[in-house]
Formats: sequence, C-alpha cells, structure tokens
Amino acid sequence: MIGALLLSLAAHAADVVPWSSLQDNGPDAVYAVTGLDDAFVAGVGYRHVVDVSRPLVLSATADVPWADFDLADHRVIFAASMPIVSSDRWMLAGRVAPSWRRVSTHMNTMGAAGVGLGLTGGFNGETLFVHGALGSDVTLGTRIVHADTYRELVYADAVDGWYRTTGVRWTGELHVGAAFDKVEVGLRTGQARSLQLETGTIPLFAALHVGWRL
Amino acid sequence: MRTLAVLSVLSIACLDPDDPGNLVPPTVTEDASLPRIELPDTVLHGEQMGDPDGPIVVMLHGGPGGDYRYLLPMGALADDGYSVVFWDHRGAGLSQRHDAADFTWDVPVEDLRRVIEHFTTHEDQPVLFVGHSWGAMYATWFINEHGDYGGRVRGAVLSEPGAFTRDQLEPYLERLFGSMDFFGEQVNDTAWKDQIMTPADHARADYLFAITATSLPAEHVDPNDPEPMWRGGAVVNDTQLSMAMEDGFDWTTNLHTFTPEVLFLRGELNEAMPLWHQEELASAYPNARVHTVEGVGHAVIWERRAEFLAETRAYFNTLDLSGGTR
Repeated sequence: MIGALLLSLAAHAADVVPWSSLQDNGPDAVYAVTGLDDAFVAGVGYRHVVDVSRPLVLSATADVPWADFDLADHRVIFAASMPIVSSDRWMLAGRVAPSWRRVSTHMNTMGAAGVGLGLTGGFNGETLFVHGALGSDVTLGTRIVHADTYRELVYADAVDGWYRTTGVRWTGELHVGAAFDKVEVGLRTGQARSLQLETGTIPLFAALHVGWRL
Repeated sequence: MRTLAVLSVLSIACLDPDDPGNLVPPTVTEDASLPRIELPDTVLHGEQMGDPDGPIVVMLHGGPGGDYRYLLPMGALADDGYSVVFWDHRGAGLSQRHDAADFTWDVPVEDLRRVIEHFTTHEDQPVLFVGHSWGAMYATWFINEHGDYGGRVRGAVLSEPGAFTRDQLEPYLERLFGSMDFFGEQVNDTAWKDQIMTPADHARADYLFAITATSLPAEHVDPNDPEPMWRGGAVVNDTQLSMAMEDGFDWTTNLHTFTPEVLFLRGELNEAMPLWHQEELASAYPNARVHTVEGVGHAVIWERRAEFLAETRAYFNTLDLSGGTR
C-alpha cells in the first residue's frame, strides 16, 4: 500500500499512481503521459518497487514536446521515492529525482543536468486517491552551445560551455486518480514558479497519466 | 561530503550565467569602451553621427526593450547634414540596466527630452523623430506631452506604431498574438526552456528574451533577413507593457496642437497593423499621411532600408528646418 502510494512521487513529468491494488500486482508498471507540461508533451515511463525495510519506488520517465515533433527537445527524469511517515490512509513521502532536459532552437542548444527534491502527501482510498506535492527543481549544470544565428544576430562573443545553476523552480501539484485492477488513471495539475515566484510562459501544467501494472 | 565536493567543483569549473559578457554583451556600466550618454540617474548607450549643428534626427527603436542596432542603416542621414542620434532607451539594449521599480510613467518622456538636450548645440535647433514600432509610439507620447517642444520638433516619421491609447492597444495585441500557432514549434520552444533557465538575474532574463524574441506570423517578417539586436531588455519590456495594460494611457489628448505633417510609413503585409489601423492612428494628428511600402511587413525599416531611407529623405525635404545649419 505504501509502496503504491509512493509511486505518485516519482517525477515532475509523470508520477500519478494509485495505491489501492498495487499489492495484488507485481513490482513493475509501465505508463504513458500526455498533457500541457512545459509544452504539449507525450511520454512513457517505467517504475519498479524495491522492498528495502520500507518500499523504495524507482522510476524513469521520458517525454517530448509533440508540436513539430523533434527528439532534440526532450526530458528524462529518474526518481527515487520513500515514505517518511504513513498510516492506513495518509502518508508523507520524500523524493529525489535526477533529470536531464534539453532544448534546441535556431538560437542555441541547452542541455541541463538537474535534481528535483520534493515531498508528497495525501489521502488514499480503496480506489481513489488525492495527493498534494511540493518540490524544487534545480539545474546543477547546463551545457549551452550557441548557434550561428545567435552570434550573427545578437552576440558574436557569447561563451559556449557548462553553466552553473541556470534555473531553480518551485513546484506545487495536485494529483487525483483511480485504479481499476491493472489499469491506473490519474490527472496531475499544478504550477511551477521561479525562485522569485514568477510563473513561466505557460502558467499551469496539467497532464493525464495512464498506467498498466505488469 | 562527497556531494559537497562535487557541488564545489561544479561551482568553480562552470561558467556563471550572470557574469557580464558570457551570455549577453556587457552594457555601458560593464564596458567602458561603449559610446554613452550620461544622465543624472542613468547611463544610456548612444551615439551621434553627422553635423552636430544640423537638424537633430532622434532615432527611436522598437520594443519596449529593443535596441538601435537595426536602425543603424539610417545613419546615412548624417551624409545629408543631419545630426543623427541613436540611443538605447533606459534599461534597453546596451544601456544601464534598471530594476522594475525604477520605471515610472514620467521617466521615458523625460529621458527623451534629456537626450534631445544632450545633443542640442543651439537654442532653436530643429528636432525630427524617426520611430519604429514602439519607437513610433514613444515619439507620439513625447509630442503629446511637449507638443512641438517650443517649435523645435518639426516632423516625425512614425513607422508601424501599435497604439496611442490603451483602448487601441488591446485589439492590436489580440491581432498580433492571435496569429500565433499555440501548437507550433515557436510556442513549444519558448515554454520548454522555462524548465532549464529561469530569469533570476538581469543577464539571464535578457538572454531568455533574446533567444525567444521573435516576430509573430501576423507581422510577416522575412525569416531570411531578421533584424539584428544587441540585448533584449527583459525587465523594461515586461514593466512598460504591464504599466500600459494596467494603468492605461492616452497619448492623443494634445496631438491636435502639433501642426507639422507627420509621415506614417507602414509595411503592406502586416496583418496586425492593416491600413485602416494606421489610418486610425494617423487621424489623431491634424496633419498626417500614411505611406505604404508594398511587399513587406512590420520590419519595413530593416528589410526595405533603402526605400525607407529614400521616403524619409523626401519627407524631410518638405519640412521647414530653419534653425539647423544644413
């Protein structure tokens, strides 16, 4: 039960998972996500539950923007989650989520290695669940390579290389979902804000999660 | 400890995105070699070309938050005996950066007045404006405040202004942003970078502005001949647009006092600023005419610089510029 709940903590991209029937199924699941989350995205993920004194949920999610589909823009998030406190219906868990994100435009290419830290807590019913999540998302190092266009039109002497901490965001999320036997469905919505609490280009995110327990 | 060591190495080995010159060029406060205009409370990036005693042509760039790099071909007016003044507005281009709190309604017009005075060599020296986009709005704002400035402002070339009032601004922005493809690559790229870089510092905010600043489909800008820029002033752009939308403005209340002819120079293809729109704006002036440059959009001053220059010269030649030494 706790392990299943933890699945909802996995990552920024897709981690809405019900808890109710997880014990009746194996430790693995695959899932698909789509929605508006820093762009119109579609992605897939895999998760695995390891029992180490308490459940440890590991997941990997990869998604890409689907407008003018181009794999040069992508996001991969690995996550490890573990409960901190829990009861039959309520739980609070922590999450660490290393990530890799990349965007390529006519001006530059930015690839960022980062890490997300967060807490998720909430109510878990027999079938339905509601969770709230708070977290931070920090880019530790970003490789920036400028395109000729940027050098010609804006700044010829722009420096290519690894930059430290180009972005820090806070995230607040709400997850609601349900599980029916092996199928799980959930909606994840919320907001990401900069360190100065400013919203981004798209002020809210909302993504649908559909999973299949193996 | 190991984590701390890794973070320390990252911190030392990696570049700082906020250091001047890394991602965006240094401003006048960071590069002493840049030409400048020193005002009491700010330093502007600016320069003068031509005869300093000739009629002053004040070039006003777009934005808010753009810069004068794309206007430089108009420096050819210096060959005609004009004193051509280029400057990046407060907080824009290579001018000194300012925080949002430094921008109030009385600042921009006073900056422009001070720039005029900075380059004035004699009392009755004529002044002419050439403004593009936001710059054309800026010129109108000044004229509404100061009229012909004691008889010194003798004319203005207003190219592609968006609005002179708050009521005009909203439908204009709807036409402009309504042309965006929200499912297209442009929106996608702009939003996707938000998770990699956030505007925590001026330099990063300006960098994000520069790499995402782009024309919108309704403007019909030639993708093969884009306007160059030095630095997008993200803070001034955001602040002045917010002020305009939230506080409202009406820069037409005193335009009836301005009697010299005003030339509106527009691009035929700009769907956000169709002919009727520019004629509506021109009607706020008692003496204005609209000239359309065919086959070009919003970037008419850059993409058709020779034609723009010729029209400007022809227009200036019709004006009374007595007091200048041409």
